Amino acid sequence: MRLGPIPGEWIDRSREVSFEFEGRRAQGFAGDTISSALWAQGQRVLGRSFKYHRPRGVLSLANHDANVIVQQGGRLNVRADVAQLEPAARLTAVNTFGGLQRDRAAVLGRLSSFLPVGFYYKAFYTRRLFPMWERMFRALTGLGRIDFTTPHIRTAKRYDFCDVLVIGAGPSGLSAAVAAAEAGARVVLVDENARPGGSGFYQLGGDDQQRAPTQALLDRAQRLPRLQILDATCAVGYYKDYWVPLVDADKMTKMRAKAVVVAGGAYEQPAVFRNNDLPGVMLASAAQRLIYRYAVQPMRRALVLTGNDDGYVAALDLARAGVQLAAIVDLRAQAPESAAARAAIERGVLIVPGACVYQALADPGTAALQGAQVCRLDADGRPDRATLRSYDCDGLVMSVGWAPAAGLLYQSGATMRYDAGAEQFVPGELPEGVFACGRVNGVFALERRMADGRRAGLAAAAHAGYGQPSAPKVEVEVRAASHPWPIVAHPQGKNFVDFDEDLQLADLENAAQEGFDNIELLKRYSTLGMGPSQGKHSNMNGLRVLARLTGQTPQQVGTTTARPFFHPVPMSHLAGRGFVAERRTPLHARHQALGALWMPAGVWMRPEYYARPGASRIECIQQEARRVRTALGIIDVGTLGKLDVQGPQAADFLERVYTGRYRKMKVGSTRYAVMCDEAGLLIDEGVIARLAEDHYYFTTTTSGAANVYRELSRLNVMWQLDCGLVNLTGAHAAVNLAGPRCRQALQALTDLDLSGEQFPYLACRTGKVAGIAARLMRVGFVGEWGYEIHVAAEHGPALWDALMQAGQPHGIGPFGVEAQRLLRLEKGHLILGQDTDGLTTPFDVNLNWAVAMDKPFFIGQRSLKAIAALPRRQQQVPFMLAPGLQGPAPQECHLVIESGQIAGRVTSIYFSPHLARHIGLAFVRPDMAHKGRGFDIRLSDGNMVAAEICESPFYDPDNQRQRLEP
Amino acid sequence: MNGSNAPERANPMFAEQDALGPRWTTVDSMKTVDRYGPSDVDLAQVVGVGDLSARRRCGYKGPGAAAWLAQHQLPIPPQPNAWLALASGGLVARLGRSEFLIEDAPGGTQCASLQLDAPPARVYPVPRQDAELVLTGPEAGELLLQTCSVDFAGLDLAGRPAVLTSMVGVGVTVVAESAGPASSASAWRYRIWCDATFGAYLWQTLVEVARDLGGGPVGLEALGAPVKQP
Repeated sequence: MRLGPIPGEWIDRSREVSFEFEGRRAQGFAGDTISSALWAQGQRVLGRSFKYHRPRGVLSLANHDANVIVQQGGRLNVRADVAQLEPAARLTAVNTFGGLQRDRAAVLGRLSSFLPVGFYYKAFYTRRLFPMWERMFRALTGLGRIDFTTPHIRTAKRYDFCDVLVIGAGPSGLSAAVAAAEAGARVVLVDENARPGGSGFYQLGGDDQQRAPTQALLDRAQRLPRLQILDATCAVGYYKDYWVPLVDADKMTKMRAKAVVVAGGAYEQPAVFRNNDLPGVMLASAAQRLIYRYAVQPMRRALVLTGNDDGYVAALDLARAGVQLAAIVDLRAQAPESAAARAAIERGVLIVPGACVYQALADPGTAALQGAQVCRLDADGRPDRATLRSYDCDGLVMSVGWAPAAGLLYQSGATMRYDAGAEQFVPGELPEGVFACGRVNGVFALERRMADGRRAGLAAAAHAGYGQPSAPKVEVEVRAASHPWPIVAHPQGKNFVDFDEDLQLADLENAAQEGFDNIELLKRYSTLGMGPSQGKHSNMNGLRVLARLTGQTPQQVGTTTARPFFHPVPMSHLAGRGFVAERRTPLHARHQALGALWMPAGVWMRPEYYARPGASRIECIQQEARRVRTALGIIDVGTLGKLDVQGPQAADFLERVYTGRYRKMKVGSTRYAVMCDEAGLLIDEGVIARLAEDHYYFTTTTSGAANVYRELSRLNVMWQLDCGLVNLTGAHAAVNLAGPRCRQALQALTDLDLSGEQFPYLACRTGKVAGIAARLMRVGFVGEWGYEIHVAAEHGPALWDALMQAGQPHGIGPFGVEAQRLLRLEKGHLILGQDTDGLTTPFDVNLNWAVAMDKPFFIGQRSLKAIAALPRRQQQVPFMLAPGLQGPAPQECHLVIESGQIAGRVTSIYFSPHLARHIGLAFVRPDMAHKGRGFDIRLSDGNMVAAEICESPFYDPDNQRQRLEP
Repeated sequence: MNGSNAPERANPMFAEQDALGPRWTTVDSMKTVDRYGPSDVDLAQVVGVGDLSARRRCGYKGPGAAAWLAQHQLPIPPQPNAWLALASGGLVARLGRSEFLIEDAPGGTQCASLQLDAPPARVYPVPRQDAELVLTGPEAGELLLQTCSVDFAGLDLAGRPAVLTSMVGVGVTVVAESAGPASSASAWRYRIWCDATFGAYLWQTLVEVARDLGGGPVGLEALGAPVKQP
């Protein structure tokens, strides 16, 4: 039933909202949650439990009603207790078979004795039955249905920063935030609720004037320019260095603070008695939220079960909402002397001290609560069934204790101790810069919470560099707000400890009896606390049960490990917008226009080949390769790493980082270079060009460029040589022009003498090409006369256009990475990373000639000396398959098999149009590595293909084509 | 390698911007978008992503770089990760202990002048072929928060810091320059340099986020006089 206007209510009565729940039309107001709107309309069954499909209603109304989860179109797992009502929403309860009212799976409740604790594990013991159980569990479990047509939502992820982050905007959090902001700190205050204020606006003891202190604090907070309040935002984890992810409906914010105040309060805990899950049985704070936030009368006639003074405050709040009070049942031997208790007595409310609720009773028609049986507790705290007395009520309000919302504190590294006086865990030691206040500290009275908040806020501000931590410490509450044993056994069970997982008291007793008597083991075996609410309403009672079963104190039992995320985070937020950096050469658009099909090469995008209408991939690649062999090809090699080293000791630097010799290189010459790491393993290769006595220009592999530059920079700083290193990778565009018509085409664009005498193989020159300043190198990676031409990146497209135009009479065409791989394989050249791996030495791939072991020093030399003395483990060899191979050819990484044993693997293989057969490179056992030796390669389907070791280069073995003018 | 008769300089984000059908102009021999459309000004009032890649720039590093640049009458930021404005409208950014970025205002000649003079020993030229973007508008700060982990709001921007960081996975240098009254949400505009080979990706990504925030790409016209060719 909807109440008349309540001061501070969250609903907007001027805006009615129509929606559909389980196929039936329903009404609410803007500001309602799904649960509050349905409850106001008298709907008592809001969801079904996970295991036994029992009817469930409001429990916490605090984002933990794990059994009241609905699906809204493509949105899964919408928590009805906090999700705002949306107009025209069509909602269905999850986890039902045939709908909420007539859930066929409710029969499972009657089979509960056949579903003991650990049932899942026990079911899977029998291998034969495993598939059956798997199918059954898959069919029965899972919440909601995934809609695979749901559009990709690019949920924003953002960073943010503050001096002090305060988590929780209840009275203590507000107080902390105000104190910190007034000290000068930049403060962010977050609260998962739709509005700030917390319990300061709903635990009022029936007196609306009790809102005033919290309202005053909130008004003050809202006037502070350096204080930002984020509503409906959940702090879901704590990471090192005050890094806290904040999740709201639209985004995730990675908040970096200088100090963090945890003022998250405490979760009210349920009592454990038979049928404590019936719709109508709820936490006192849930009833208070219904009243003050949504102006909903939680029930007509209530029985209040309490174990603390808060229960009397709740009873007065119920009375303020017109709820008839059947009785207040106090687990304690005597009612308190508090003002609220006195007020309740003055109202004529029946107080039943030293008693418990033995069981709640369901209305057989509606499945909701219709009454409860109460009995006295004996001297040992056990129910005395002889004193049973029944009460009619449609609501049962539980106020028996609290558990601190300490998840973030645990994650920050805080230690918690069990305070026997307060009967709750409170912080022991907090990490530097992390502070706690309010109920999480065991401080419950409103004014004391505010004082504690002020203390924490000032301390946090001081930690962040603002003001002094001047406020005094506020001690833990002397009078316990939590009852040590709000648990009542019942021979027929259904006294739930964990509502998420339908765990009963007997389940935990049985688990402990089976030996799972450690809190972490108990959790995993019984699934205690592993449901959607993550134990926020079950862990404390579970811990108390285990403590009693094992004769330990709660401190000795301890708590389970708290890990991020502290609260479930939507997958859309975790996926969100992704950033995958992509690098494009200055010629990217030219390739695109020529029909390039792209392939990633590290962070770069490179043309794999250029598509031609009517031609297959292989045909395109082979035609590109053929053009290089017969006419003229051009490839973009701008992705190569390009570095300059200048200075008097530039040669010394290169001699240290590469394995070869470069000091005596002639100016205007180039040399192949190999780089090893300290372990003597190949890490990079390239070409070094000497531009001047003190100036070298060198290339690295595409994928190695960034790492090589970083490492060389480090070494340069460490060695303090008189030279400077400059990374030109992105600043230079580069192309390789290759083929027998190469020289003629290029000559038309440059005044440089390109004759073999003036510009021989492996020489380098600087000059102008098409009016563009360029560095040119005569290299032969693909085995033809060729020039690598490097220019400023901004002139790359102009160079490309000029070369394509000049080359047109000579049959020029672009070639991609795949054609280049084929062409280089025909020359027997390896590709680092493809023909090598992380354990390859230069000796393994026949690069001994590139390693000057007699130099005084180079990186990896010491290791290579040791390696050279050891037997080789593998050797790279060139091989051929027989011409006219029928059937599938081997692929890269296929295994070399010798006498049934793995003897190596293929690293490169291509069909060579020039040789009309497959050629490749492979690692084999060193004893096999001699020309003419045959070996088998095993295909993916297990068939073998015969190969024979040969000599390389496969093509132009005397290297005439790249040296001598055609 | 910037020859005086060199052809037009290619804009590193030309293809991506050209796909939007803008009106082009030429700044310092490089095509630059002058106007995408009539909504440019409105977008810039929220968050605009502009292209300043055309500006001529050069770099120098090495232990002798600071002294040599000072000989050329350039102001030298006293500490690393800071920048100073040139009287001609350009800037000098100190990227490290001994590395500097010099950028001309449109039509400026400071870089050309430096490049005519062979640097002495221990001064190494660093060719700068950057893509340069500018973020403007009150939501520029939010765009930075969604793409970069640096707390720009916590920096003393009036102290002219030059921030070397990573933005959407790309190494960038960022400086903030005054763009309006200090109290306004649009008080600062942010200039971002990155390796030109990342330019297309960075531009596309920032524009995508800017559009989500209600902004988008803007041409020089909407960015106003400070960034236009004199």
